[in-house]
Amino acid sequence: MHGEGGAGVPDVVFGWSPIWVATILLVVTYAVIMSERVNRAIVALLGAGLMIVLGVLNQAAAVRGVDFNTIGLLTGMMIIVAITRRCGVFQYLAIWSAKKVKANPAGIMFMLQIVTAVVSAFLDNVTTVLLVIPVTLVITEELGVKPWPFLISQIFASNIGGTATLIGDPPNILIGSQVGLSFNDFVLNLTPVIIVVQLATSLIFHVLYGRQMESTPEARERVMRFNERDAITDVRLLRQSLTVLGIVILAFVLAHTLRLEPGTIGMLGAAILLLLHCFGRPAEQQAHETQQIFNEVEWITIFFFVGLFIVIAGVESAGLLKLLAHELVSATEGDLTLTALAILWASAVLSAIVDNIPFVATMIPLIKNMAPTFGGPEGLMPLWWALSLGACLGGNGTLIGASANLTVAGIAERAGHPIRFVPYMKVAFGVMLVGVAISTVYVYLRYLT
Amino acid sequence: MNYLDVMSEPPLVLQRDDSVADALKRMLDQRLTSAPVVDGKDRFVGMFRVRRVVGLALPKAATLDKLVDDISFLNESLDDLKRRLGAVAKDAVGRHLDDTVPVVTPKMALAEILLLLYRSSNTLPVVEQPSRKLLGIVTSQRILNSLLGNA
Repeated sequence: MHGEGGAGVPDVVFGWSPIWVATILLVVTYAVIMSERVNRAIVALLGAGLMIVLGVLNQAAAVRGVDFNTIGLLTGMMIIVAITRRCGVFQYLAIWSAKKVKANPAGIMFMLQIVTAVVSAFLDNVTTVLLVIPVTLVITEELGVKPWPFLISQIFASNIGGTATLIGDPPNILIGSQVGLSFNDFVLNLTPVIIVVQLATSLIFHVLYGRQMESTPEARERVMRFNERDAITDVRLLRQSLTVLGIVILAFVLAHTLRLEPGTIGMLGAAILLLLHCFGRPAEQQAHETQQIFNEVEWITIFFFVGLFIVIAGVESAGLLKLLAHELVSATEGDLTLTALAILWASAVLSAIVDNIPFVATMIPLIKNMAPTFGGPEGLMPLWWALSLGACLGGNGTLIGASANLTVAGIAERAGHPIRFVPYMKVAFGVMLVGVAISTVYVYLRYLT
Repeated sequence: MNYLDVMSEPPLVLQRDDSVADALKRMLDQRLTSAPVVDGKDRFVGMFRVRRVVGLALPKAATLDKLVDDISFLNESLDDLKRRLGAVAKDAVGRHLDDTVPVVTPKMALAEILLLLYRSSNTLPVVEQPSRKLLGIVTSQRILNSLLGNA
């Protein structure tokens, strides 16, 4: 039917050029993902299957397109969190921080943002809000204050904190893995600006909501009576989980010296924690526990990534991204500053509206194709940081901008405090733009002058 | 045997606008754990359960499924629990009823009714469709008595 190129790319697909078929498949896949009519994992896997069936890629090329480093890191960290969360350490942190500020409502709002941001820097954002938001609702109920400011500020904190490290947010995992950037690269380049963005955001929320908050002495006394030590349900598991989590983070820091990829570190950490958790139990119970823990892995996200990698491999090998990169460079006339700022702001605005994972997955090969214009891979560094900051922070702009936002909205609705799309956006979009503006100044001063 | 053989007259039918405090008092007086609730046109709208009221004495977030695994950190006093119940005492039962309860319809076979009781709760409403008129209730006790010939 068609000839096969060296990279597994045929010259002709049903009489059309592969670039057209790949473009149509990419656009349709994106459109259906955005419509939210079909689960995104199903859409991505269908798109991937069609890329192969229609001959844009063969199966070997499709499998090569899947970044198993990203898949391993995501799955490994999900398993570690699924075990760690059972010991109650995150509830402990939330209650401890609330009592540290003597149960002052504005102080609690600030402290919970910091806890959420720090935890999000090391764990998946959705997991973080799933752990912290229920305790937040208990605290606000006891204080007799409206939970809305706490919820919106913690959505922001989870997305901002997640931007600080390689493992904090899926776009960073993607960028780190595919560009070869280490945990330390992210910490050195993104954490400083993220601290500033988080503090500025907390200040805005304090001015908007915190300073008007009031609570009775009786209500505050009720929160002060919380005993954070009782939140720890399993001390042995706490020790095991924190030890493994600590070693995993240390291994990320020393990854270059150890010559280990993040995917290996994540999966090995997960396997060790599983071993510690199950060791000594009867075989049947081990099978039950392991099954329960595997059930908590977000397989939708994992399969979404697998499908998406193949779709992107299709458009990449068909030459579409090279063409788009050339067009973008032409539009910015090869000016690095203009290109970096265009990527930062376009990523932020688009990520507020569409899922930032497929967007970043598409942008990575597109930016790589710009290397010749900007003097090789080193010249692209400002663009990677611009992409990460824009895509991760932009997710705060609307309720559908990031998975953590929808997760909080879901819990809030069940608790009788619904968060609606328009009221959220009225506050959030502007606050998000402040963070992007701070990032613009940072990227410009640090990398472009 | 069909639903008529196992259906009972409900000992208590609540109106949607009845207060939680009043409904609870009547249920406790009659030692009931649940009661059907109807609207102004006698259409079934849900079940009001004592179990739900127990949940109302706790922080709302603590009663959301699978979100807070453990609330031993709360250190609640009896007064705290009373305060929460007091806060909802004047609410209408319509705000706190279980409107997802499966209903028994006249067309159901006895085995299907048993399966519903097994899977959900000890007391289920019998509802005419599509009018949603409340016809009665079925309970596990009444069915077992019928099956054992004690009715």
